[in-house]
Amino acid sequence: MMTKDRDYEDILRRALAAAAESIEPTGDGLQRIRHRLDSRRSAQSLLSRCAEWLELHGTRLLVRFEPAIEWGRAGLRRVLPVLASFLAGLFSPRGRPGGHRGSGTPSPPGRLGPAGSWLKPVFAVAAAVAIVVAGVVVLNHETQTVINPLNSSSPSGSGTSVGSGGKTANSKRWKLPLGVVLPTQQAGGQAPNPKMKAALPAVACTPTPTPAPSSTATTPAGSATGTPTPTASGSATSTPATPQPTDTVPTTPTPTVSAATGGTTTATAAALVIPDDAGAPDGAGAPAVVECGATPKTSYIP
Amino acid sequence: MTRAAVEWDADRAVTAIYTEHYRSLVRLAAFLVRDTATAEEVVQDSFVAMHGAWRRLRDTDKALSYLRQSVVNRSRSVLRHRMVVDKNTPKPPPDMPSAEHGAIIQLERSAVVSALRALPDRQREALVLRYYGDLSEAQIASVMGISRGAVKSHTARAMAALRAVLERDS
Repeated sequence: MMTKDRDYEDILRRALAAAAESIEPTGDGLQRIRHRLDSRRSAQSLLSRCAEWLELHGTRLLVRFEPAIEWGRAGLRRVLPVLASFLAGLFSPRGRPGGHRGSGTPSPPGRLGPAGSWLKPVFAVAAAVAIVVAGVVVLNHETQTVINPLNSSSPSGSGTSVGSGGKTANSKRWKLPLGVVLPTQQAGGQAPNPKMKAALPAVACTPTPTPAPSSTATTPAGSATGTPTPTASGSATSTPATPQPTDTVPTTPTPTVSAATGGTTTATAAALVIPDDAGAPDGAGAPAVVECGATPKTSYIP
Repeated sequence: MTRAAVEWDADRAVTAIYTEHYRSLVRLAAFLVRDTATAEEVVQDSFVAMHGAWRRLRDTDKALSYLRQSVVNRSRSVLRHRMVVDKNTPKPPPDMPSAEHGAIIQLERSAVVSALRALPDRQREALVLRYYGDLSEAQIASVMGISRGAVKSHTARAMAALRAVLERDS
């Protein structure tokens, strides 16, 4: 019996080995594994980039949308008691004329009738969903009302690439910042926000196909006049061969307006500080520093 | 060890283990899932999982054990999925071979392999790991996630069924 078992084991071993010989994997297994690993890595790096972005801009967004958040909070404070009383009314036990539960007297159906036992939770869930939807809609509306004045500009159908709401030839991120008015707009075009136009000086902002030297300064030094003034942070030369970008620009606490150039432009980076009384839509009580060539930012200047 | 160093180490381990064991793992998986292309997918998924778990493993032997276990588990998942799909798809006419048929036919060259295919999944796993993978009972128990006694039981039952089929055919 044992020898017979051994025979069968040997037969099985040989048969499996022979069958395995006929199975030949394709040669690109390692490439496919690496490809999968790379795609996983890229997904991970995307996630980490998102986390970094949130970490970097989260506070800024919170500050920018503080009025909307406050408005939402106030609205919730007003709505919550009403909702609570409504829910309490839905779930509160009604007075039963028959006395205690189990006394043999069937309790009369509630205001909702016999289907009340399952209608109440449905109503509660529906009310909660409606509140969430209303909150989202209101927040969206508030966000747009805050963002629209920032990004509104001349009609984009004109075909001009300069400051037409981000529709430029060289960069998708190029947007006309708050308060920056093009000379053409000044001449005949309609201003995005007449109040802003009246309150803020005009700065010419002309992007070029050549990449501007990167400057990380949020408050470059300069004078407080409306005219952009070239400073040490950027040269106003028109020769593209000799741009003088500086990566480390000392920040100054004074409200300034400056311009830095790179390439053949006259001004590729400008910052404006909007005073409190200019009616800044961020409403944070702090002047908003916006750069030409970057999305408008808000920062506190002590 | 920094994350980059671990990743670099894992990359090297993947390459080394691939060179040495990829083919045998694909063959092992092919016996379980009865389809070479799916077997390759299963093994590649296992390699990716091993790369992700390298921080815990950090050892080639452990990694190989992890890979075998992962291959067996993923093969089970494939079979489960296939069972559900087979239940819900209409059967092809008898004279028309199924899509899987071409891949399976190469595995059914001998009566032994076709008898092996007729065994229940766990018994087939035990036999393949034992007689193709040359693993010990303890290793099989670890890979299959069962006790050594269960391994012995599965192996004995599988051998009895196989013997019955072969004696009947001969």
